[in-house]
Amino acid sequence: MNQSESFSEAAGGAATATAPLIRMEGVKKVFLTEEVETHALADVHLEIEEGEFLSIAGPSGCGKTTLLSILGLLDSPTEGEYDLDGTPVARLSASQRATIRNRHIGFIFQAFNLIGDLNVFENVELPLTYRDMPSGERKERVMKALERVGMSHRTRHYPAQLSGGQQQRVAVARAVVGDPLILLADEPTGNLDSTNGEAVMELLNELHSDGATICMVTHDPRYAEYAERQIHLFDGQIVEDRVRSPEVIEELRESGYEVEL
Amino acid sequence: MTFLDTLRQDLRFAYRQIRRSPGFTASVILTLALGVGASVAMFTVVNAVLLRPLPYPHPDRLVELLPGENANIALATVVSESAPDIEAWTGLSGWTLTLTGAAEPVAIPTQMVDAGFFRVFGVQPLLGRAFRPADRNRDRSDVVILSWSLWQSRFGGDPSIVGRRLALDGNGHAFRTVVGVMPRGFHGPAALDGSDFQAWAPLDAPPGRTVATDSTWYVNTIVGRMRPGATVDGVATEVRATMERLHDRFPEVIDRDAVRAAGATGVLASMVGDVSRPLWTLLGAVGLVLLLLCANLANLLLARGEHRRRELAVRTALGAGRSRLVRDQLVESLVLSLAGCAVGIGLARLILAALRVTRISGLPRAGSLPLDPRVLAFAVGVSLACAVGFGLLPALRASSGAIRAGIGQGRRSEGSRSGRRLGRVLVAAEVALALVVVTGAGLLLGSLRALRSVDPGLDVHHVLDLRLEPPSHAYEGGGGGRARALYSELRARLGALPGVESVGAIQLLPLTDGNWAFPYLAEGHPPPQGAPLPSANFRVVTPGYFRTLGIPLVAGRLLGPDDREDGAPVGLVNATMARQLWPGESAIGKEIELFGSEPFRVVGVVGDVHQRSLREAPRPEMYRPLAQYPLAGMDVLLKTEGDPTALIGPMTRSVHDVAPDVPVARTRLMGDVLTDSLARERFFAGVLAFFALLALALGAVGVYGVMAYQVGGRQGEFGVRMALGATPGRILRRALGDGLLPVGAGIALGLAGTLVSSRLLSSLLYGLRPTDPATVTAAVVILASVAAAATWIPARRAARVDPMAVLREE
Repeated sequence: MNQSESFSEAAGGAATATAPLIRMEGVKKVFLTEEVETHALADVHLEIEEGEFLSIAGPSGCGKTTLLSILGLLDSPTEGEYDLDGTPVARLSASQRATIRNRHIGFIFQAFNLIGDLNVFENVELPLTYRDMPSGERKERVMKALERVGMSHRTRHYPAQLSGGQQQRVAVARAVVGDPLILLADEPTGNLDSTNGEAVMELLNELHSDGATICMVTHDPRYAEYAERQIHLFDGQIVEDRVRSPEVIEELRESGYEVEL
Repeated sequence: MTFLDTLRQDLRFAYRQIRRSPGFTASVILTLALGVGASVAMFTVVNAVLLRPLPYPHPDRLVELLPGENANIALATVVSESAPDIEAWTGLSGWTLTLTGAAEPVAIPTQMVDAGFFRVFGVQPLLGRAFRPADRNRDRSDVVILSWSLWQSRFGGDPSIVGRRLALDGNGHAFRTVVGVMPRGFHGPAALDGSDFQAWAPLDAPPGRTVATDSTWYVNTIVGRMRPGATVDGVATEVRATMERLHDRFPEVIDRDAVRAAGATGVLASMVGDVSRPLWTLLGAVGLVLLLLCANLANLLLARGEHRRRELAVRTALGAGRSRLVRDQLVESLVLSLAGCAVGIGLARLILAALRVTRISGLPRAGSLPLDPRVLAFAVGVSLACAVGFGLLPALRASSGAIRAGIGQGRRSEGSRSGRRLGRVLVAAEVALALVVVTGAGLLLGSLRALRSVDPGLDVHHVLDLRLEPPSHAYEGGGGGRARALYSELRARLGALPGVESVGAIQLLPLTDGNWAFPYLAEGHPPPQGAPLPSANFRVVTPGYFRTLGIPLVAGRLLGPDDREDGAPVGLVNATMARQLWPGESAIGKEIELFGSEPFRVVGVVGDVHQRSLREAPRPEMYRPLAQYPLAGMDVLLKTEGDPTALIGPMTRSVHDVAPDVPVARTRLMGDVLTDSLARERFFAGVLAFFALLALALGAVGVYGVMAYQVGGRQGEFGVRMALGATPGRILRRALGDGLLPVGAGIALGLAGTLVSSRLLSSLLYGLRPTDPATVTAAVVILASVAAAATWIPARRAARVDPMAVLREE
C-alpha cells in the first residue's frame, strides 16, 4: 500500500519511517450521558505493523466497535495518544480527520452501507470524488477495484439489484479503491450467509496476501482465525493479544477451511 | 359486510389513529383551519360581491341600459321605450332632500325614480301607493315614499303617515306628500359606495323637452326589466340602434363616441364593475395557498406513512387489498379535513372582522358578508378537496407494493429515490406557488406605494369637512340669496373660531365619486360641426377654498368676496384646462360660455387637483364663485392649527346658530377622504400581502419539512459519506445543493406562472408593469432567502451527523 504525501499535511505532523503503522498509547474512551459515565475503552495499548491482518473479538459491549471507530478516526479518544503512520491523529479537527479517512483508511461495514441512489460504479467512485481526482484516473481506479472483487460486470446496477454477498464485494472495492494504509472491517460477514461470508473472507485474505493491512472486528471465531493476529477485548481492555500458531492453521485446514498466509 | 358497517369500521379506525397522535392531529387541523379560514373568508367576499343574487325577483332579468353618455330624462325615455326586449324601465338618480320640522333637520338620501321602478324591482309599497306616470309632471311630483326604517325611526311607525305633508325640501319642491312606505328590508339598488336610500321621489321634467333640449342631465342610471327569454346582448343591440338613430337626428348632442359606447349590461355586473377580475384573482391566490398547504400536509402524511409501514405491511399480509388501505387512510384525512373545516369557518369570520372588509374595503356590495349556504358548501367542498389533495398521494404511496416488502425488514429505510423525487416535486411546486402569490402582492404593494406618492394637488393636513344640506328650495330659490348669505355668514363665524386658519367651501369634494361636467364653448374655439360641445368638470366654490386646501394659484388671481352676484361673471380654470384650450398663451381674460348658462371670464388659473382618484389624471376643470352660481348643498372645509376633530362641536354649533334649519349631513377629515380614495387598492394589496405572508410561511415550512424529512432519511448515507472522507463542509454543501435544486426549479416555474397571473392584476396596477423587473427580482430574492434559510437548518444538521452514531444504528 502506498503512503500518501498529503497525510502529514492533513494531520499537521511529520511521519517517521521507522514507526509502526498504528500506535495507540493509553487510549481511553468515556461516554457521558446525563446520569451515567460509561468507560468503553480503558487504557488500550496497541501497535499494528504494516501488512498485518488483525482481528478484534470479544463479547457484545466490550468496546470492539469503539476501538475500530477510533482507529478509523470516526471518533476521538477521551485520553491517550494515537499515531497513524508516525503522525499523531488523536486530536484533529473534523475536517482533518475526514481528509485522513478519505486518503488512508478504508471501511467495510456489516450492513454494507452502499448508497442506494448511486450505482455500483458511483458507489466505488465516491471516496475518490472527495479527492478532486481527474475523472479518467477515477474511472481507471474504480474499474481496477471492481475487477479485483469480481464485480466489474455490474457497474450500472444499483445496490438493491445485488445480493448481499455482491453488495459486500462492492463495499470492499469501495474500501480499497483509494489505496488506503489500512482496511477496517466491522463484522463484514455479519449480514451474510455462510457461503457469502466465506467468500468475503477469502477476498480479504487475498487482499492481505497482496500486502493490505487489515483490522477486522468479528465475534465469529471461524472468521477471526483468518487473521494472523487476534486480539480479545473485555470490558474495554485488551485481555489477549496472540499471533496465530502454525498448528492452529493446520487444524483449520483439516476442518475444511482454506487458509492461506 | 354492508357499506354502513364498513364505513363505521373505517371511522372507528380513523378516530383511533387520530387520537393516538394528538400532536399530529392538532397540527393538521390547525394548518387546515388556516387554509380553509383564509379561503372561506375570501370566498365570502367573492360571494357577497359577485355571486350573491340581487335581492329582487328574477334578478337575472335586470339590465342596465347604457346610452353611452350622461342621460337626461328625455334620452332615458327614448332609449328605454325603443327597446322591445324591455318590459319595464326606470331612471335612477341619487339626491339629498332635507327634512325639517319639529325635530332636528336631517339630510335624507333619496333615490329619484320613474313610475316603472316598482315593476322593475318587483316591489309594491307596504302602505299607500307606488308612483304613477303622472307623477313625472312637475306639478304633481311633490310626493315621496319613505323607507320602512325612516318611517320607524323618524315617525315611530305612524300608520297615518300616508297623506302627510312633510317639509322635505329639495329637487324643486319645499314640501312633499307621503304617498307610501316601502316594505321592511327593501333596499333600492344602492350606489356603488354601498349607501342606502331612505326615501324615493319621482324624477320629473318640464313638459315638451326633447333629447336636445332637456337639461335634466342627472339620470345616473337607466335600469330595465327584460322580457322573459330576452338577453342582455339583445338589449344592447337595441340600445345601440336607438342611439344610432338619435345621432342621425341630433348630431350636435349625440356624438359617434356615444353610439360606440352605447349598449347594455347586467345590473349585477354593472354594480360590481372592475373588481370582478381582481376578486377572482384573489380567490385564485387563496387557491394557490391551499395547494401549498395540501403539499405541506401531504409531506407530513408521507413522513407518517413511513412510520406506519410495518403496520400496513402486517395488514397487507392479513389480506387487506390496496384499495382498502387507501380508503382507510383517506377516511382519516377526511375526518381531519372536516374538523379543520369547522375551525376554519370560525377563523374566516375572525379574518373578515380583522380585515374590516365591510367598512373599509371600498368594494361594492360588501356592506354585509353573509355566511349563506353557498359559503358553507364552498367550505365543505374545499375541505373535501383538501382531504383528497393531501391524503391520496401519501395513501397510495404508503400502500404501494414496495412498502409491503417492509414486513421482513427491521432496518430503517433511507427513503427511496421515488420518495425523494416526490419530495423535490413538492418543494418545487410550493416554491412556484409561493412565488406567484408573493410577486402579486409585491406588484399591488408597489402600486399602492406609487399611488400614495402621487401629488393629489391639495394639502389635506388638518382639514375638516362639514357637509351641509340646506333645504335647497328655500336656499336656492329666489336667486339663491339665502345660500349666499348662509355661506358668507358661516365663513365669518367659523373663521373666527380659535384655531381655525381658513374656511372655504365647494359643492363636490375632490377625491370622491360625484361629478358635475358641463358642455362649454371657449373663446377662440369655434363650436364643433355636427358634434357635441366638449365638456369640463364644473365646481362652485367660496372664497378661501383654494387657500384652505393649499391649491396653488398658477396665474391671475383667486376668487374673492368682491366677485359678487351683481359683478362681472368670473371664474377660474385649472392648469390642465388652460393648457389644453390656450397652449402657449395666457388664459386670463378669456371667455367661456356654459351650456344653458351665462358666459364668464377667466380671472385665474389654479393648480390641478385629482378630482375622482389619484389613479386618474386631472381633467379640465372650471370654478365659479358661489356668489354668482348659488347652490345650497356644499362641503365646508376648515383648516385648523391643531387637531381639527377637537373643533367639530363648536363648528356644528356655529352652523346651528347661523341656520337652525340646515343639517350637517356628515363631518370627516380630508385625510380620511384621501385615504378612502385608495380603499380598494389598499384592500386588494393588504389581502394579497396577507396571503403572500401565509404562502411564504407555508413555503418555508414545506421546504423545511421536506428537507428535514429527507435529511432524516439520509442520515445513514451522510454517515457513510463521512466515513469515506467527506468533510462536514462538503456534506453541508451537498445537502444544501440537493435542497436548493428544486427551489431553483420552483423559482423558474413560478416566474413562468407569474407572467400569466400578474396580468390578471393589471387593472389594479398603477405605475408598474405586470412584469416589473424590480418587483419580480425582489420576490425571487425574498423567496430564495426564505427557502435557503429553510434548507440551511436541515443541511446543517446533516453536516453534524455523527457517523459513529449513525453507523452503529445501522
